[in-house]
Amino acid sequence: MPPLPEATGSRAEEIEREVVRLYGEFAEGMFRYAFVLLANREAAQDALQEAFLRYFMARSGNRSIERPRAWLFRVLRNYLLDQLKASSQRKEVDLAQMRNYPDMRQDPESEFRLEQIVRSLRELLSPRELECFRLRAEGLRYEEIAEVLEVRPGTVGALLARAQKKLRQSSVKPGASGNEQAGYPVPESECPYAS
Amino acid sequence: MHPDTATLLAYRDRQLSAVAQREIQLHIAGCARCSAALERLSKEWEHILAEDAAFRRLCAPPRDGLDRVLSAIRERGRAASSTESELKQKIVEQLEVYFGSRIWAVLGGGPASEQGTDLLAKAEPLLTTFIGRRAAAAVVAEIHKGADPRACLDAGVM
Repeated sequence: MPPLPEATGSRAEEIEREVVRLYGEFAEGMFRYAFVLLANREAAQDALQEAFLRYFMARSGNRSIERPRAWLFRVLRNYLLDQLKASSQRKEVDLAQMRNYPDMRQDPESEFRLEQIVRSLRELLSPRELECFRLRAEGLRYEEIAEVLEVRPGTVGALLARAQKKLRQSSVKPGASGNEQAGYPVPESECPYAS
Repeated sequence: MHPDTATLLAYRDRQLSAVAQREIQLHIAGCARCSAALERLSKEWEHILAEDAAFRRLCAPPRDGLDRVLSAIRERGRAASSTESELKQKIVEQLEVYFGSRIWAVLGGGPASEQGTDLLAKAEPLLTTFIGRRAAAAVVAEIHKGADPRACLDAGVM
């Protein structure tokens, strides 16, 4: 029997370079989108990793991807929805296990602020509006957002208009209190400084 | 008729068709109310994006994020390559049971230049000619399952 050759891997290397380029362009925005939905850094990073892994696999299978940004965000979203569904099915948390987790937060103050921002955004906007706003803020075009959310481009416009209106109505006014200075408003009930 | 807020936002974002973009542009040029609304919407959006900067600053992927992605890709690649290599080895062995090592000259290419699944796809018509469609399909299925296709003989498929 003839000896079997080693795979050259040049195609894989080419796709890997593609992944590196796309990661540089889109990873930050994808991470923020994932974080807003999951509110967990590690889970957001896992989701990001999975999206790029799936991209690599799709391209390895000679699949042509015309709009990589929309494709990556769509795959990411599908993964995130699966994760959210799975976590909602997990009714109980093993507290003993949780106590063994180290606190991975580098800067608790920043993390606290970040959590506040995400929480206030989630309270202010509907899930669809929140996703739409986040995708637009990350620079996706209406057509791309429509592809990611699987809606019509007209719906994207309506969702964005509603999101902007809600954000405007609760936006920081000049001379607002110190609790509201950096970013989105903090609901009073959530504000740790509220008397 | 005045455009609604969603249309004005889409106009501001240059997301309308060229024709619609031009129509709204003409309307705004002659409508002080819509022109003011557009200006207000644009300022609001700028303000919202400025506020979003705080979130963007705080929320970034880990520094080793790309390394983690590439590690995952390489690990998956190694696993796939190993599976493919095993499959190919098995296909070569099993096909030579039927046709001998000269089969590769008949098929063209051969183990040195083909993926395992491609080899099997090329060999299937030949198998069909010699042992019939049903038996060939059974042999191919057995190879995929990892079983010895000679078991097909015992099972009475051929």
